[in-house]
Amino acid sequence: MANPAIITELQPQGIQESGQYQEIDDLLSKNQHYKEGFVTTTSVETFDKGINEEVVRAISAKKNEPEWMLDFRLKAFAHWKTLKEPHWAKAEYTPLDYQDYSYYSAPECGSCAGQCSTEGGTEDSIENEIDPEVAKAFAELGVPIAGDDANVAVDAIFDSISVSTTKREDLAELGIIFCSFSEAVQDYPEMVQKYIGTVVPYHDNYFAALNSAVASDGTFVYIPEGVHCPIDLSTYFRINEAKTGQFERTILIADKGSYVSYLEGCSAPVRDTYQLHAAVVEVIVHEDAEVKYSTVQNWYPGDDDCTGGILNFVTKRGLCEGKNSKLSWTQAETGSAITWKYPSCILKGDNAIGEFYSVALTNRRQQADTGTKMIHIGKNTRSTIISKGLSAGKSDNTYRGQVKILPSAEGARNFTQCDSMLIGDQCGAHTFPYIEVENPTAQIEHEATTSRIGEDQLFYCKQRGISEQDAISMIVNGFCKEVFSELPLEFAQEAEELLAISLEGSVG
Amino acid sequence: MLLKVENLQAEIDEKQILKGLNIEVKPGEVHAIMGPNGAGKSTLANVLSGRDDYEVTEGHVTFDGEDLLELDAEDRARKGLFLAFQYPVEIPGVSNKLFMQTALNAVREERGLPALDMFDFDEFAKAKIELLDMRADLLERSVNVGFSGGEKKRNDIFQMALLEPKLCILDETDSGLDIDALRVVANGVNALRSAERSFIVVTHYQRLLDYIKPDHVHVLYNGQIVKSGGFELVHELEENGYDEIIQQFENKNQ
Amino acid sequence: MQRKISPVAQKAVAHYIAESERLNQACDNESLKQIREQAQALLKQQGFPTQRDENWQYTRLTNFVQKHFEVKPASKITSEQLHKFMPDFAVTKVVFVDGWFNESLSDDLAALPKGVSFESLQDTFDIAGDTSALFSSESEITKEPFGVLNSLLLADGFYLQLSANAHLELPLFVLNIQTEGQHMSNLRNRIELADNAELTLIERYVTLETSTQDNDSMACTNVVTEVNLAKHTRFKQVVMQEQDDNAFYFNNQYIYQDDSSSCMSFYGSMGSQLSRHQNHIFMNGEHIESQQNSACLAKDKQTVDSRTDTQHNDVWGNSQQLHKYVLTDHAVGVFNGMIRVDQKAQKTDGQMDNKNLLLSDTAKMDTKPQLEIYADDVKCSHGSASGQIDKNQIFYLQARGIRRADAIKMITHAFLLEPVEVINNAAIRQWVTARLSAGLASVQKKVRE
Repeated sequence: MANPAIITELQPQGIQESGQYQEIDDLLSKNQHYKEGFVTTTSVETFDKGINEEVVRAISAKKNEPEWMLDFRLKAFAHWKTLKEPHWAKAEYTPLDYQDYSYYSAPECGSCAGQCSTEGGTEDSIENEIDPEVAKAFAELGVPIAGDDANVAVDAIFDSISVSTTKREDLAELGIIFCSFSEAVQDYPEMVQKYIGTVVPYHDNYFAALNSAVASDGTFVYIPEGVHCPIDLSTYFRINEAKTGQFERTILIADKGSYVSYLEGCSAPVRDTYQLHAAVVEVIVHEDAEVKYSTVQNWYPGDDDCTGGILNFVTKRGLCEGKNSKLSWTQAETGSAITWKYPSCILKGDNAIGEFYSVALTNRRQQADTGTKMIHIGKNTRSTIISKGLSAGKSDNTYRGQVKILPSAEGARNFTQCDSMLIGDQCGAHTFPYIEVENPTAQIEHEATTSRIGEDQLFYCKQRGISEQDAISMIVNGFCKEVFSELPLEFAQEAEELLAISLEGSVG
Repeated sequence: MLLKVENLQAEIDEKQILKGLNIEVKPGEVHAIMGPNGAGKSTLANVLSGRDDYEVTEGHVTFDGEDLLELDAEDRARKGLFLAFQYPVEIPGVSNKLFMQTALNAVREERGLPALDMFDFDEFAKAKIELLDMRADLLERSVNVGFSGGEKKRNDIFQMALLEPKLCILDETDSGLDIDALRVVANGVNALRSAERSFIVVTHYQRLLDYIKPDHVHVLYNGQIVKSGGFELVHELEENGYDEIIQQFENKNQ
Repeated sequence: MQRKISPVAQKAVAHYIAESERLNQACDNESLKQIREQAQALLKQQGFPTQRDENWQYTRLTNFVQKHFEVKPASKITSEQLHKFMPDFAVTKVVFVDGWFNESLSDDLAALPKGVSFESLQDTFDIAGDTSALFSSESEITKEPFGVLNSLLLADGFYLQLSANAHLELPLFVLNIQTEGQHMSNLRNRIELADNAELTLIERYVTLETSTQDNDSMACTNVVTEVNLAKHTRFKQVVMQEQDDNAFYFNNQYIYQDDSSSCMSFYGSMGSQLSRHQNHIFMNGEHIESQQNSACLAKDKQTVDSRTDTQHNDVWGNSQQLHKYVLTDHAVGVFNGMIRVDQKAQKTDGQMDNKNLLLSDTAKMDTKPQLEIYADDVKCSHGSASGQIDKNQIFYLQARGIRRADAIKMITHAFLLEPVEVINNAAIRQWVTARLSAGLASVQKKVRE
């Protein structure tokens, strides 16, 4: 993800000779626990704390949204008010005070008073449009928002709004739409209206309802029929303001016979109060299309007791609508104080394929409750679930997954493997699978194991001259290999490094 | 003197196992340490290589002029002390290649040599694989996972060949090996013998020693060396067993 | 917390509370009355679980809640009527009719070996003034809705004590027989094994006469059994649930194990429209062994639910489980297993396996094999597989000249009977095998068509 060229641009003294990860290393030395823990100071427009119908209307007005979008928000808000905050997962948190959050925050830029981002802009004038402090923040994170990395197009989201979307013209030539969600509402309203809420309805769950009411920004992707998207599309989320919730809404549509690989990365500065992240992602995969959706989640986990970390309550779901469609979720989760996340596949088309590859690492007092749902509807649908949970410190790491075979899913197959590794004796590793089979021709296999990094393994490595730290990272990466091999190369590298950082000091 | 052990006493879980052990090893020498079960043979191997389950309560060990007991296990390894394990450990997911390249470069760093890249390492390793008659896909496989007992032992000797240590301690390397595997291991060890490199071969039986002719043989009993001699002692033990020597020792001590 | 209870459930609650109050009026044992009153309060508060409750989402109580079972006196039956339910090997026989101990039909329990004492719970209540010691795990039991119902209607069952080193030569065979429709057989058993004692217990649940489809013949059995296993004890248990296909069956077993004790519990399930058998195992000592197996067979619209909750609370515990289901027609199978390893329980070895064979297009299997682990030096795994008979296996047998129908029969048979192998007493194992084989044969007649 890092791009030395941008760094040079912003910091003329230059570090281009040093390795690709130099800037990360530099940041690391500043804060050994959390490398993305810096705060960007810029002039910001932030709504007063609190949520009510007026706030929902104000957000919609701020974004100059059409009537139907406001209606969608209001319906969701009305429904949200009737719901209770869920506490069923294996994660404990004190009920949140939703009136203590701000539901809209955006950096202002001098020239156009915050309008430019929703109006869109051209890439060559990027420095004039993006707040330089914001640009610097993304540069420090290694996100190439200037659009000069050949292999990836990026949508960068800063608190509530998308600040830049690169490579748009190149993609437009292929008919690919890649823009912020707010822009899509303006520019492609009929498409947004057609798909929003079809995979994750506003009444789906508590946080999905909240998201639908106050959705800030997000990414919209449409890949037209038969187009093989030549580059990776990527969104980078950053929460900067204190006490701000980020509620992004992402919609990705892959039309017949198309292909896209989509990546998202997340971070937030060090704060001492919980920040809320309640995103909704909807993916629609048509006949013969394939979507690879990869996430590296490194939200701020909080201090040593995980106070102040991000609460990451996310609803991600994909509908494999057409025949032979394929959706693959890959995630490396190392951040957040609490993570609830179950990227799911509804396998509706015959021969549809759903995949879920996950590495979740928890340390200190982090709590992760993550997994997937594979709903088999179509004939000969297949799903694979590979989940690797690593628990260290005093953390709890839970796999929760559902495999449901409906009566129509003739010949469906599922293979699930969830392995846990415990590092230290204060942590917990849990596996809660739900397997529901209503068709006898289905074949379901579920395996789970628990292991640990053993003293004898460490001694064996040490006796060969390998330091304990290296031995641990070697064993951990070996444990996670099946999942990392599904990530795009640079992401895999980043994920490995994140693991090493997150595990520092957890053994011995 | 490469290794000097003086009055070494060690315990595990508050039970004393080594009770004042002395041994000296010069460069190029091969020493065999024999003894009945429970004599403390494996404890000696583990204490010298720095396993922290064992607590040294008395004594000194110098290795190549340094106080060995002050060093961590990995530093001992980097300075050229190698242990071939009685039970080599499986490490799922970690390839032999990554494992040994990391280990070799750690040792090379200590010796002031540049790190080997993937290509140099491959070339270097291939030669050793042939020497030890290992499977060609050895480097791609996870460390010891799915290996037979004999393969694990051979893999340890292969690692020894790569790391080129100054002192090799073989802890019951012969146990569980059939005669063919035993020969391969012995040939590997013999090929590595040199004027600088020393060996301590810990074993219960004589059969490995017939292939690796040791210069010195010690009998370990109840945490102490009770008799030392040349290669002829191996055959004496073979004929009379440990009882006679133990008896002599007990009588002397009364 | 007060829950919302549907009007139908409200009626059932009111009915069972009235039954409980009626029992209390005729009772002068204060501690027993108190237990029932506590349960009344709990039932009023909670009602009956619905599909919204995590532990009941796959097991519907709709039919149960509509029925109002009564606690009636036992009807009279003769020993000839019992004959067909007895095994073909020597046992010490204990008979409960409609949930009430029947002394005349049982063997002479005064003649039990030294150190073994058997009393009906009703006798214990009548004789002893203060029976509160019998209710030591009440708080645990009332966590389960049918534990609450059991306490609410508590009246009879057995209290078996083995003193140190005692053991029974013959297996103790407890026959529970339902004779009355509309009736609730409510049983509370307590078993105590002192150091180094050994017991083999067989429980069989049957219905005297197979009913017709009418509602009046339906009956319900609700059992709670508490087993306390002291150091070095050995406890072997076989439970065969073969009630009439219209019946209901609920069983909660609480087994507390101390150092070096070993427990083997086998559950075979064939009868009842709804059956739910649940083991709660507390491994509260070192070097404990625990084995739980089950073989469940369901047809028509039966729901068979078997669940285990195994708590490893100390070091070096070993627990093994194998649960197999064969389902046909519209049957629903539910397996729910939990292995929980406490932070203190290092060196735990916990294995849980669940395998299911679906013989029809409309059968359904819901399974939840769970692990909750707080210690790092442990070996735990679970596996679950559901599907049809492997076509390759059938073909392989056919290629050796075996008829297709027979091939299916052989494979299904072998599949279902694997958990039975854990029973090491040959006579008991053969008897269980014969019972399950007969059950399979009746199911397979349908499959062959």
